[in-house]
Amino acid sequence: MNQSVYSSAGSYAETIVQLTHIMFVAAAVITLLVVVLTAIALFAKPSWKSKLSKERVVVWGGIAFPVVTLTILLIYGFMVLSMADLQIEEDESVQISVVGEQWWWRFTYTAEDGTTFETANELRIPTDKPIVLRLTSADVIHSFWIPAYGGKLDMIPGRENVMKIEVNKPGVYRGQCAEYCGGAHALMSMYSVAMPQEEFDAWLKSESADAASSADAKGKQIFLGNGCGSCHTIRGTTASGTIGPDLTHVGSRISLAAGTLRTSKENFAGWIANHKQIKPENKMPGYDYLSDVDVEQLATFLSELK
Amino acid sequence: MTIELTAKRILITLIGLIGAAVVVALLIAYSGLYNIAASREHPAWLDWFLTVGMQESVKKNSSDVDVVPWELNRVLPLGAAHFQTGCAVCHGAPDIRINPVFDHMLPSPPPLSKHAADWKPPQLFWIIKHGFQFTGMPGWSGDGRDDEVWAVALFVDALPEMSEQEYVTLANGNAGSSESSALINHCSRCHGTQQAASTSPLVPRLGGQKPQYLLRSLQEYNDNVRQSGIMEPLVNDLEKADLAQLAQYYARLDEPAQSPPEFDGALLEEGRTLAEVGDRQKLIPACAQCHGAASSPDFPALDGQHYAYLRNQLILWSQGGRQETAHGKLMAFVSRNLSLDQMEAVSAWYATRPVASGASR
Amino acid sequence: MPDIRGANVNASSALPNPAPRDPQEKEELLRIWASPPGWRLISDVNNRVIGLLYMGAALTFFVLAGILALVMRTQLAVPENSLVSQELYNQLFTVHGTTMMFLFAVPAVEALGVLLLPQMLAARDLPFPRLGAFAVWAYIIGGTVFFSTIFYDLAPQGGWFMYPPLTLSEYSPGNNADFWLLGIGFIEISAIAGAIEIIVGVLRTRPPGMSLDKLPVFAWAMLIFAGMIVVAFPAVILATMLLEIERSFGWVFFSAEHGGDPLLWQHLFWFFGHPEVYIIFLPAAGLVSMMVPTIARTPLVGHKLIVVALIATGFFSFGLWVHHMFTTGIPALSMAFFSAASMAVAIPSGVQIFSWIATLASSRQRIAFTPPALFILGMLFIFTVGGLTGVMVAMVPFDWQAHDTYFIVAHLHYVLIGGMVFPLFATYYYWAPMLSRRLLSERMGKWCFWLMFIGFNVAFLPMHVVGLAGMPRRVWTYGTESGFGIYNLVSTLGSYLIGIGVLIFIIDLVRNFRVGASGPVNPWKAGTLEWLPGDVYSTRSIPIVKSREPLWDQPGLTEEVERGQHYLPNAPTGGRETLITSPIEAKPQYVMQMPGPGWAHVVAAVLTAACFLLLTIKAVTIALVCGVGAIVACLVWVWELDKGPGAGPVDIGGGIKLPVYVPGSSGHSWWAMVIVMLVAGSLFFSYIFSYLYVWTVSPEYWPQGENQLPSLERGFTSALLFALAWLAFWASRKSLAQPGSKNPLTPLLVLGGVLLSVAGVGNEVHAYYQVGIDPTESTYAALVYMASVLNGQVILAVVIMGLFVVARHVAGKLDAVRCISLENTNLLAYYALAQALVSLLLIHGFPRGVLG
Repeated sequence: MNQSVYSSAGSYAETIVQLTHIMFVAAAVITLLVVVLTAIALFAKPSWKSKLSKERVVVWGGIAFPVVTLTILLIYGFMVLSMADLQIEEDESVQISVVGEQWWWRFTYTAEDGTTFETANELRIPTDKPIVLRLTSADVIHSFWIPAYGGKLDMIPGRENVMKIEVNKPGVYRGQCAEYCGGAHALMSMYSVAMPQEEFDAWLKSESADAASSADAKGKQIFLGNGCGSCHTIRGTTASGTIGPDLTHVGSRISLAAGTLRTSKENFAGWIANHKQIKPENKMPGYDYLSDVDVEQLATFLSELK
Repeated sequence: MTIELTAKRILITLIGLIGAAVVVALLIAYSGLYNIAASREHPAWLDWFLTVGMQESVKKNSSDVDVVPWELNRVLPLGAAHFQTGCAVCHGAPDIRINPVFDHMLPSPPPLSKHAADWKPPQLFWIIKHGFQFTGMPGWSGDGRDDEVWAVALFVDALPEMSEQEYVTLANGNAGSSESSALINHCSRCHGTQQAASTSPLVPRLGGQKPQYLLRSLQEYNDNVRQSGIMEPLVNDLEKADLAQLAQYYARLDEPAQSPPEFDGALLEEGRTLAEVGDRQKLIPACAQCHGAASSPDFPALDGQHYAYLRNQLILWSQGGRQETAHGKLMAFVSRNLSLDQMEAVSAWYATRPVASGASR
Repeated sequence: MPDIRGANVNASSALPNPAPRDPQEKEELLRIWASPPGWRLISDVNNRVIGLLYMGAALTFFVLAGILALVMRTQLAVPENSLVSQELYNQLFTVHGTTMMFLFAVPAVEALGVLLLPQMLAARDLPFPRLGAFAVWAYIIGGTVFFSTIFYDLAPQGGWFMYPPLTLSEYSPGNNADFWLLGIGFIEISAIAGAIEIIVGVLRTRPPGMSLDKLPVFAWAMLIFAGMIVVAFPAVILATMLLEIERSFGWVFFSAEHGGDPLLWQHLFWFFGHPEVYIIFLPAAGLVSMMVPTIARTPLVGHKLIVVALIATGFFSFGLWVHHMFTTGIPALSMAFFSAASMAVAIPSGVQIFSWIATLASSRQRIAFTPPALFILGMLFIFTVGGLTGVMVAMVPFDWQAHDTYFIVAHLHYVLIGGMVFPLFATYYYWAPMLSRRLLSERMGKWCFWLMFIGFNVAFLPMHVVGLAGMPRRVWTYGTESGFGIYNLVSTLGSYLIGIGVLIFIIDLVRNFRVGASGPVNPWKAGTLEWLPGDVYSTRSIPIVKSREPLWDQPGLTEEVERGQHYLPNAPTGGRETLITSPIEAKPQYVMQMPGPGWAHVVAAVLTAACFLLLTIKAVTIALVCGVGAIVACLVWVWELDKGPGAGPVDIGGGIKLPVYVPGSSGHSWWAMVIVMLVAGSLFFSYIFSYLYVWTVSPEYWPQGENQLPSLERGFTSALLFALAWLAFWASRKSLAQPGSKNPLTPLLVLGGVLLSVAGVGNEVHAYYQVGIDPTESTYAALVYMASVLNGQVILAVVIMGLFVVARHVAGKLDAVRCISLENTNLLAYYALAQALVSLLLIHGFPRGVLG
């Protein structure tokens, strides 16, 4: 699960990696130069030292040299900067709206039939196709960052920031909120799965469908009877809350609680029982009165929501 | 010889004086010289000192009490019923003389039919909430229940003007109008009966409520987790079987409906939206998911509940007065985001819903 | 009117006071400048005492905030650690950052200014000693309260940058965030007080002959530092005012739902915050430029270039703030501009680094690796690396990846520790002999250096890597699978090494630092004036300066000064005094009479602190009582400052007779008042920026019709009131009677001006209220009222000063000659009224102009 800047999954991220390499090498060379010059100033024989002691050293080394190198770098930087603004035709791209919330991510997709549906904490995208992410926030400032896709962009209340990406390498990448957003900021992560177009289409179809669960599952009754549905939606049931993450297919996601736990029945149970310890300050209320059996059945029900 | 006043000398003198005072105080305590018997009156100077100290302390400490505009006819029945069981034994009432046992306390509890007039309502509120040290006057036993304290304070304020007949009517409420046991009669002084709705819309309608919820609530009062200075003393001595009996009785009770006040259509619509959809922006979940037909028997039904009761409880929750119980924590989470307008809207919505009859459950 | 162009100093002639001096003079100087004994030392104002206190407090906060850093490093040493809770960790990094930036770095630098500047300028003291002492006490009390919140769970959790909406009461309920605002309030007060001291000190208390081209580089750096504070701090003052007002009263500035913008905070904060970095760095660079020549025993190569570089850095630093906001989605063009500016600022740093290398190279002997030399070499390396990573993050696409990751944590620590902490430690070792009877231990100094240098690189170098591996900043934990663990473990070990290094330094201080006058004279054989022998009164006499390194170029100067053969070898007015010279050429102009120890400024500081603190915990009544008490204490303190011309003119030697009381634009207090006006003007400019900025973001909240605007007639009435007030103040100066008599018109005119000003503000506020403008409803409305808040606060100051002037008139301490109190009041009044008139244009004119 790579969260590294170097694990570029697209051409733009790759360009930034190149820029990074170039700058690192240049910085190392310049540091070495300064160290060598200092060593000469300190230890070399007088004739070398006197060459270094003139004011023109300051003019050439301190002004001319940085002006030249910085200008070159700046021009290169502008070129890289201008590449970020992909020219995208509206109908050729996948449009996804992303809302940062304390402390998770809400994704809204448009299904094939034009209806929209929500999912959470896992961004699935097709490869080799322009993606337009519309970023905003429901509460405080967050920052959307999946390093492999190249760069981050803040999610600011009252504003919509647009991030355009194109990914070539299928895979699973990790992202994390990069702007301090209070409390559980450290535990606001996400996974992104980049998949070939056919796989993505299939996923979109299944994800937009209602939940697959047996009507009389005990866990489902506990879920609905205790008001879980007032915050969470499970499409196909009466649970229609929109405050917390949509759980329609929560069992099929890689992680629970915005990248905090791996999805498994045990982790569902652990989360329900101990979520205040696992992710302090999270906004879900405690359900201390549920018995172990209730929690177990609830976890079974949730983990089967594939 | 003149002594120059320097900071150092003043300081030393001060320290000396304070030290001497401490020594004298310790001497009095350890020598046992002072007679603390309650069987004799305080000397006049001490009586004067204690009275002034008490009065000024009440005035000073009650100065920042915010007066809540309660409607008198709603709180008087509550205040009277509590006064009858909790206060009259010491302070007397229009139909009750002070019990001679308590009359021999020092200071002796004042008969409030007369002396309540010495205080203003915020001062009464402060006294009832906090009590007095060294007098036998206790503080309020329900933490965070200022609403109850106000009910008693406003009742006490009205007491001097009250006839015996008025008092008896208020204090006994619906009691005696039912054929049931003494236990039920006790409750009926406030709560509804077969014949009459509860004595105040601040008292919840219990008839037809879910039995498991009723039992849970009684148990929580009994365990001193759900806070109430009125309910806790009443259920304190009850056995499990009594609690179960009460829960069953009220669940089956077909209580006459109290007609709700008239509400504005827009308010009801806002209440309906909150109840059924919630408010995502403000992180308010829909009420119906927990209080609807399919919800757990531990959660109360709200249809037809009194508007004033619902509104008051929501305010209590948002102020942290009902978050001690496991279920209460859930509701506290919801209500802290509700604005007062929203509380009223949603209370109005549920108050106007038709109540399901007790027998049908 | 005395001649205030300044006396000519004949540099080539003989000594000003060639004859031997009466030994009694030195006794008298010692008596006049003596510190009060015992616990009364608290009332002292001498720059050595105050400076040491200042430095000690700053160093204490450095150690405390460093301990917080060690706690955080320990928490991060291994993945999924549970040593520190999430809530505490969020408090830790907030308090660590805030303390290091506001309670350590800026005060430490100001403390150096207070300690070193008068010595480098051979002045007896800084020009406003009580103001300096007030600033120090306010800072110590405020800083201590702020820091201690970490111990009882009241510490803020919003990060040192406190971005709203996270810091609005909706997301940060409780008083925690208010304590941050409180702490910052104190630092704002003390920083600005310090800036006034330093600007007037550098420009007006130089020794005769030290024209600007002979000014020591550190003094240059401090002058620019203070100028930057004057321009930059008001932006954060306004930001903190807006935030606190929104938190306390619900006026909307930053909430998007009412037309506010969270980015407004970021613009204001970084317009201050970026220059803040250079505010910290420039004086440290100045110190290095002082130490390097001594180490190399040769003048600085490229002195002029360095001065230009310092000025350029100060200038550029105001054009960079947006580079903290590259990821907020601002337009590409503005990113390109700020990217270029961010790179340009690297050039002045390059100039300085090469100048230092060249100076070292021009040394004719082997450089001795003393602790100061080692720390400077360490700084050269660390700061170069930090500067280069700075260029990297100035590249927008790279910043999109690196922003808010550990790469930035590494970068900023390389810049700040390299650019400021290492020079500061060099400074401690270098200048300690000036204040201490004993040198600090060379052996321990070397241990301290190597531990800190190695520890620093071990701690922070891996952070570059872990940042690019994807670790964001301000996280209290990270997963085992992330692979961040090993880097963090190494960083934590490195941080412990730094801690041990600092501990060794403290042990060294405890063992060897003994305050006293009779330390070794000029142990490093340096060339600048602070190495003249001295005592509490600074130098025995004030030397004529003929070069940048007078001690190298003017043989015998040390002995002449010590024998009292230069200027002002005695105390002609019988009290504390120093020589005021002209700002450019440093010609002697007059002798300034200075206040000595006192209690009023201490009481004022304590009550100011109490007032703010009580406000924070919402105890409004007692807070107001303390606030009024603080103002009274200030008035008591300033009552005796306007001493009048009684004791002058006096002879300072060399045939120069100088006045001791100079009104008008040559006076030191006139200069100080002008700087106050610059601060207020800068604050108001930030306000105008905010108003226009919010308008560009949400113009739909601006009035859509004439009926929503306060009426024009009301606006004109206000303008008339302000104009009449101006006239009244102007006439009051003209009305002053000659010494010995009183003109009853004077107090009436002053009071009239005061009342008219207040009426103007009142009329405005009422006009807004009348058309139903409600500051809790939209940002437009809140900004309208904010104009009156800003006008009101300056006018409140004018009111207090006006009443003070009236009192002086009654006491017979105000006349046509002894008029500085009135002149300064009028100066501020003119400014306040001008600001009020401009705000009328903005509030009444701008919306009408937009409506068309």
